[in-house]
Amino acid sequence: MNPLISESVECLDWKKKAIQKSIDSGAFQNEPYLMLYNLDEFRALAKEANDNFKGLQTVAVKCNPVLNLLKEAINNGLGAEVASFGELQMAERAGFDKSKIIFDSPIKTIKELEYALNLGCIINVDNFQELEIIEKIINAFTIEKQESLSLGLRINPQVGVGKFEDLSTGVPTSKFGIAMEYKDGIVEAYKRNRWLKAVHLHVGSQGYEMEETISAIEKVMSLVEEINQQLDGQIKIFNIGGGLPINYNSETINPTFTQYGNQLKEKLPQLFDGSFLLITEFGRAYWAKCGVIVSKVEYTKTSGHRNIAIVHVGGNICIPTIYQYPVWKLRVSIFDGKGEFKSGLNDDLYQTDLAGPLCFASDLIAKQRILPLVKQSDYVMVHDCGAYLYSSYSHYNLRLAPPIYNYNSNLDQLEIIKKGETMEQKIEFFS
Amino acid sequence: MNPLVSESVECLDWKHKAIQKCIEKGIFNDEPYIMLYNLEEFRAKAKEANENLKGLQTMAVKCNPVLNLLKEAINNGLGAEVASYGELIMAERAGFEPSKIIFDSPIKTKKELEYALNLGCVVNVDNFQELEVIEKIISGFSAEKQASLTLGLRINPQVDAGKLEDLSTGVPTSKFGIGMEYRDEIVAAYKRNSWLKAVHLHIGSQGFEMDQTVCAVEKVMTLVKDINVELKQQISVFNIGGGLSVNFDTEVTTPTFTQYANQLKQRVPELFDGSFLLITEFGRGYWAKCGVIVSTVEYTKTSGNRNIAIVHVGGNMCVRTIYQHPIWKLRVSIFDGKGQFKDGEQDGLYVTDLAGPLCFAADLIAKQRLLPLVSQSDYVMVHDCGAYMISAYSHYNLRLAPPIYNYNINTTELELVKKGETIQQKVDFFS
Repeated sequence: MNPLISESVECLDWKKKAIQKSIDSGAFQNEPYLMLYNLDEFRALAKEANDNFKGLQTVAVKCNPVLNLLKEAINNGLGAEVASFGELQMAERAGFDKSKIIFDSPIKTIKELEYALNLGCIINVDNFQELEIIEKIINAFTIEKQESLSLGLRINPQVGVGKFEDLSTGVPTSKFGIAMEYKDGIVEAYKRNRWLKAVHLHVGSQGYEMEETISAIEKVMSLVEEINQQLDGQIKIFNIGGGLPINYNSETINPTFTQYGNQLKEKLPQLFDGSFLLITEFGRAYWAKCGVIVSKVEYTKTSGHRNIAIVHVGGNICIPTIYQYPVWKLRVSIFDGKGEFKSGLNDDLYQTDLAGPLCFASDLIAKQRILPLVKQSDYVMVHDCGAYLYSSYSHYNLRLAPPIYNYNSNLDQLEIIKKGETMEQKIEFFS
Repeated sequence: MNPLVSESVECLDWKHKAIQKCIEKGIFNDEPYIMLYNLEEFRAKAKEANENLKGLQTMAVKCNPVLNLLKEAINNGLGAEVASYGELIMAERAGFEPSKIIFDSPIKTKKELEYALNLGCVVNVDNFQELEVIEKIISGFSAEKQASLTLGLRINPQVDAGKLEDLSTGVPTSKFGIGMEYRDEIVAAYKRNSWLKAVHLHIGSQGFEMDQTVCAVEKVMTLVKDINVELKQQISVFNIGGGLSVNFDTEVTTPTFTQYANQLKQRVPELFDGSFLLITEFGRGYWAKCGVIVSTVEYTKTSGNRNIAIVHVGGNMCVRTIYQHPIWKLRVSIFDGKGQFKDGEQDGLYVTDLAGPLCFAADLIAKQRLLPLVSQSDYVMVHDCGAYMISAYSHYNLRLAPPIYNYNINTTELELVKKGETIQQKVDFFS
């Protein structure tokens, strides 16, 4: 009996078809690695979110700023949450309606604020100094313009840390938002400015149980209800960032938007009874599981009893996985040269490192993974790469960012979403 | 007596003058953050390396691929070590001669090898499969062309890791090079191919004592001598990567090129007696301490008794520092709005987070650092940023890469080395 279990994981049917199609169509003749999406998966998730949450669903641009994927988001009834001026420009370029753009950034400069306030998108204010600047700009606007504005304060509920300290944005010392401890200042701000019609919070997604998120929301809701008592229901928009962690351990989506929606409906019915416009800002939950990276295996070797396969995906595109090993472990599947899945169920298994293309030792997309023998003609598929990876692409070693395709499972076709980065673009960055 | 010691560190005079000049010139009116180099420091280092180590000094392009800084390297008698095809193209674009370009990459594709072999740069082979591809290409060359080539095998001496496992490239299971355990095959490869005139090793720099590096060199030298006895001195080029750890703890350069060279001269005199062309590949050793990042402070706040100052430098530029806290701690200095250094010894010190511009909680360029009170008009200087920062730039949140200036200590003028990234370039990357 073989006590080892293969870590070349079984995966959804579309992925197997997609890699087959990629090989058949010769995509790998010119490209050593590429990204594959299944946009039907994304559309289903967007629909589920829209069905379960009334109000406005926005997508966090930071997790996936690719132009054609932003356009896809618009086509599926989503707005855009932007965390920087660059993301705001990207969202405008994609064609989001300004009333559906939410500008959350911890470092909005005066020029950026002038731009955004003139544009008329929703802005969530990070701190009192920023508010001061905003008040000054708005004071010069016409009454009509002032009344048309919707701004919010980002409140830090100062709750406990989730599993990932790095992503826990609502802890007592978080750099984000205005801490709950400044209750008086917060109330004053709303009193002083009638265009503060929204409230915003974000405690993090990955590593949080739904209960923790909901506790934070309840905390802020109490404050909001108090303020609305005093100020005639001034706060009409309740903006919740994040909230849904992703399951990286299998192909299953868990928890779901439906489950999260039900929790919120039960614990915070005010969000669904017409008292507020509920704005959500999911990112990872829409995109992560819809996309994979597939790379050729360029070389294989053995060293010190370790099997090593060298691939084109590593710390160029998967920064957290490489730099924070072993926290962001990504599942992989091995396919042979013809695109057949190698499960390793009836084969010998080997402790294998899948080494990335970068020039440092820990650039390993998978470390000591139990896999069937990986060959030079094989392909490696890395799962759950649809969010936060392309968006944080690193130029190290001047590796080119890959092309992105959609696998259209209805037509069994590949559709280009974004061409790969060119050498000229790369050189320009450093010239 | 104040038992607390300020972590707003004293620094070299040129840095004080440089930031003063920037403020005077109004640089920060248009740019929220910039890089500043002192190229005289670089020139002095290049000179020291060239004087102490005969042979060919190359710089690791991976640590600093900025075009005008590569040109500066050429002007200072350095060649280029390139770790990818992109870096090779960059080196050519800068104007390095092919004979002074060393192509080390763990993932050279067939097309890249064809290009490099036709170009005639030095190529260090990572593994036997790559060698097979190369042998095939070269067998198609004329005898004259073949005789003109210089290639090496990268030998992994399979030694212990240094303090930083992530950067220990010569351990038994390293993904790099051909393990020493394959001695017979290595000897056979040299025997088979008379154009294999070089040997290459690289065990890492940061976190290694010089002694460890020299031990690894000795180990490989033993093998080389054996081969040279058998094959009539076929190996005439000895290529050592890395080897010099950089001191991030103070302004002092230690160890120095002189010290390293003396160690080598003492322990491995064969490298200096004409038996070999000694090729070095320093990167961090040349550049790290020559450059700083300076950012405006956009906002300040207090949360849960933590002082927080929000700046424009974080995980966009300093990937390792942010993602691998606390390993790559970077020293900082605070300057007031007029460019005067604030040491905080008189004023009181506060536990402060310097928060970067990115949208995740751990994006802190300094965490719980003891600093004078940082105000909105202040500037933050981050030290030892001259290598490996802009080269690994991450697009996350579409933050723009900064402009780079040289502070000319002779003329006291600022010289533009590279313009900042534009929004158009950024948007193009995702379009």
